[in-house]
Amino acid sequence: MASETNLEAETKSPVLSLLKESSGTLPAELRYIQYSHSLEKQYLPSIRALISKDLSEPYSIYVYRYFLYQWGDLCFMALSPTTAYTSPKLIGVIISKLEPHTPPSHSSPTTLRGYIAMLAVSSTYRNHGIATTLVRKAIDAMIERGADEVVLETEETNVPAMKLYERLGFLRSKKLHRYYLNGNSAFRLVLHLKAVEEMTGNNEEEI
Amino acid sequence: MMHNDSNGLASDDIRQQMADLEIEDDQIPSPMAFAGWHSKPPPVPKLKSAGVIAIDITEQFINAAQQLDDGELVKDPFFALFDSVGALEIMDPKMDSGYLEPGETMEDEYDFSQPLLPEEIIGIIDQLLCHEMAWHMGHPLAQTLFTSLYVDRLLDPCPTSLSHLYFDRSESCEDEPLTLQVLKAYCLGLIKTCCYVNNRVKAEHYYEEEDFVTHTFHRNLLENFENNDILTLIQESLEQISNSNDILPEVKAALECRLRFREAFLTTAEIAESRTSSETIKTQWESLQALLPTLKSSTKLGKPVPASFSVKLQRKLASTVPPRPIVHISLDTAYDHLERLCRDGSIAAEVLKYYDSHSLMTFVFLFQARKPQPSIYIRTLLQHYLFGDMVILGTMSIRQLLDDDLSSTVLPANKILDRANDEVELPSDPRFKMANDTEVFRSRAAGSYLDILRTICQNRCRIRRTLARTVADFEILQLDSEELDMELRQYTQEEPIRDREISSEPIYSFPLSSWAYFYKLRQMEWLLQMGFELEIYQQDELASMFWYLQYLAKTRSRHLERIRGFNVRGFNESRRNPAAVGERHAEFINALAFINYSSLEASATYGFADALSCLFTVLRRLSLIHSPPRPYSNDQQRYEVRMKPFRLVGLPELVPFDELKRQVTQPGETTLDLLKYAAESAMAAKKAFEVMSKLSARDAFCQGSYDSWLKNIKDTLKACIFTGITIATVKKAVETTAKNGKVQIKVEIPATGKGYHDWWVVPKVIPVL
Repeated sequence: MASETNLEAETKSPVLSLLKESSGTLPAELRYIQYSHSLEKQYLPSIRALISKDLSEPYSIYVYRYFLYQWGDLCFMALSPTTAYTSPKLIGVIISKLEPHTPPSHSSPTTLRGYIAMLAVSSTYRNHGIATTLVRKAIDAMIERGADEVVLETEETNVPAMKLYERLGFLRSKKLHRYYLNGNSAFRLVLHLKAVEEMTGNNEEEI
Repeated sequence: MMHNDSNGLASDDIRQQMADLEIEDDQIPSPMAFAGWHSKPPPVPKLKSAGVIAIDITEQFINAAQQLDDGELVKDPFFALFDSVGALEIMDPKMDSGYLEPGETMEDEYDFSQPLLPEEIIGIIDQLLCHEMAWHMGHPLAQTLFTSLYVDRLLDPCPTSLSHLYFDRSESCEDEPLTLQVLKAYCLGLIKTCCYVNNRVKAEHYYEEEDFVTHTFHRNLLENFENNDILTLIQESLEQISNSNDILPEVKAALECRLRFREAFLTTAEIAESRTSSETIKTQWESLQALLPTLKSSTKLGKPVPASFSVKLQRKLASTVPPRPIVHISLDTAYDHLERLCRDGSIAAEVLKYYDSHSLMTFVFLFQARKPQPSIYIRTLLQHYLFGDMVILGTMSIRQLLDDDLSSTVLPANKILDRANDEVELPSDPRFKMANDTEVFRSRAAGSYLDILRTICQNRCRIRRTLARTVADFEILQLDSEELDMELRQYTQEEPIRDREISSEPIYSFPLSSWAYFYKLRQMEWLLQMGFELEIYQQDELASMFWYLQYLAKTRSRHLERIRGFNVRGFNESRRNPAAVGERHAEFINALAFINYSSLEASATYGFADALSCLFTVLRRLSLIHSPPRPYSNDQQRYEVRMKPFRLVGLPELVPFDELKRQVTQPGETTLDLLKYAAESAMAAKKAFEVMSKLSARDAFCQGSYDSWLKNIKDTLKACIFTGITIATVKKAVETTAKNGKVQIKVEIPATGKGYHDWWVVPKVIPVL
């Protein structure tokens, strides 16, 4: 499929903020499930609601479908326990993609690059490591598919999010001036999953 | 910051509504669904384009849709992320700017014939100033100035003449009240000022949306009207105010001062474009700034007219963008920005006074490092002064600047740069060949050299990112120049230096590639240092990053030694020749002075960086700086992420990770030895910075920006002294608590802007009681 070149960096995005997140004890019986298109009707409205909450401007349905339809297996949801009277409630979600990335100047090799597009946890459930678990699940799924690296952007003021990613091994690679619609700058965070020499830009199916 | 207001609107209700909508969205409409809307599908649109035939495909589409399962999606292979981000959902009030609440009208019903109090004119004018400054700060016109109904009234439809332009378009408008005349004159002056600013930014290198939004939404900012006509209108309004008897004197004065301010701002925007005299430009900015206190003090007389600004105007401007809130900045913020604009504009004009190429680069570097960084308008004016029409500072050719730089570093009084070579017409003559090769070099190097200056003119984040590219460019330039150097020495008959102590091979000067290498090293150092300023590095990376900085500065220092060797040899030869006159000597002396200055600066840098590297290593050993667990990465992989900009640089070769680790952690040294070494390095650096601080502007190659330069050196010196104190404190703590094993101190690392100098992250050590 047509791959965009470094589009993450060229498009103004609404702000996706993630408030306090630190490792702690998880509420019992929390369920994490992988997304698939058959779950759209059941979960997409609450995914949108959860994510829009922290956005200065909503994403259209096409943005969600762009990711979820093509990379549903890299998207994970955290669901609250089900009781006899309530259906499972969405309390956290991560949305990602994975595709070959060719640097514009061809100065570096093409890599199979994972991109974490959105991450949100319902405010009442924060501080329990749910976001960390979601990120780890997404990265694990990317590794399984042969990813060379993972990148994302986070708002410069979002210290908890930066700590979360940096604890996992991400480094800030650049600062992006006034990246968000609200005028705030962002940091690009990068995680190499392989030595540069071993990066091939291929996913497993093609090997 | 300013868009957060809209966040609060995402109440549960709205979300529920959105959620409900989504479920319906999933249904592919059946023919029956259409029947609910119309008895038959809408008619085929009439397309009037040659060669285009419209066909009704409704039926095929519905048939195809029916082949799909419930919920099945079809994705066009060319539908990219960009398309999805740009897409809107019609009838969603947060995305669809044309969405109307029940009873809401599309347009504002503002009565332009209503009389306004003079105090209200002051209120509107002050609000317009806030919007103008918010635009200067990077917000789109649609969320700032273009939310003014009065401004909109003047621009839509596009005016053809100023004399028949009225806010009130009813027939009885010939007797336009004075208040509206004043407002109109002010607005026209404002729009024309914006026209200058917009055109200037657009003409230079800047980043749309990141630095500024030049989009005018198809409105013409009075491009076709003469400044003088607008200034005349302002003058007429001024006269009428002074003749008016029914306005309170203080209100009168406030209106007059606002018109004078606008007159001055418009004139400044025009004069700032000229590159002939820095004095004229400076005076203009200064007189504009002088008007601000009166403007500020009379603000309290104003009465706001919020109804004359409307968020709805965006619907007329751009229908494909979600509705965005009006940007509100306070008048204090606006005045602060304006004051800085005047100050920075006045200083930027000083660049037009040329001293030497190094002073020029110092000027640009220090000007851009001002805090806060000069705004985009001033930064683009500076670019215009520097390179407008490919004439440097309005008077010099690019060749002149480049030759100045070459002769003051690697080629003082050298025949390679002799202008007389250009006159030789005999192709076999070595001078002809020299002229030829040098011209090849210039055409290759000029762009790269000017790119350094242009890069420094960008926003701070972009400076660092762009340096990664210019370093790669200089890597290639250096390699290309080596070939030219070898060719040129056939024509110059260069005698190599033979020194068995250094090498068994003859040593040639390689002037052009030496020059490229020097600038490559400079840019690599800046790239690392910008990383400190932008808080790119994590705490446990600081030891390695300072180690790398001292490594690069040391490499530059050694390279400068090499250049100095050849310059000294040339100077000695030249002195042996009694025919050599003063001018040649002056060139040698000047180049040697620059090499000396740069060497001094390099040694101060590597001493200071070395001290900090050792200090951070000690802090890690003492577990005062922690490393996160990082389950998905290892040291080697993170090193590759960090050093990516230098990966393809051949010289100096990237230090292999294991080697770097050994050099940084120094496992063979005791902690106290490391601290001793750190203290010595910091002391040596301190002495070097002190020597620097006593240099003249000429010797420090900072003519034209001596004060900023001195402040920069003094800030660095303070950071260096503070480092010495920190090292001593840590040493004492280590000595006194050596027995129980735990040092009684903790470490704080100041954020950018909180220390003495952003390029020097000095840890603060606090005793733990």
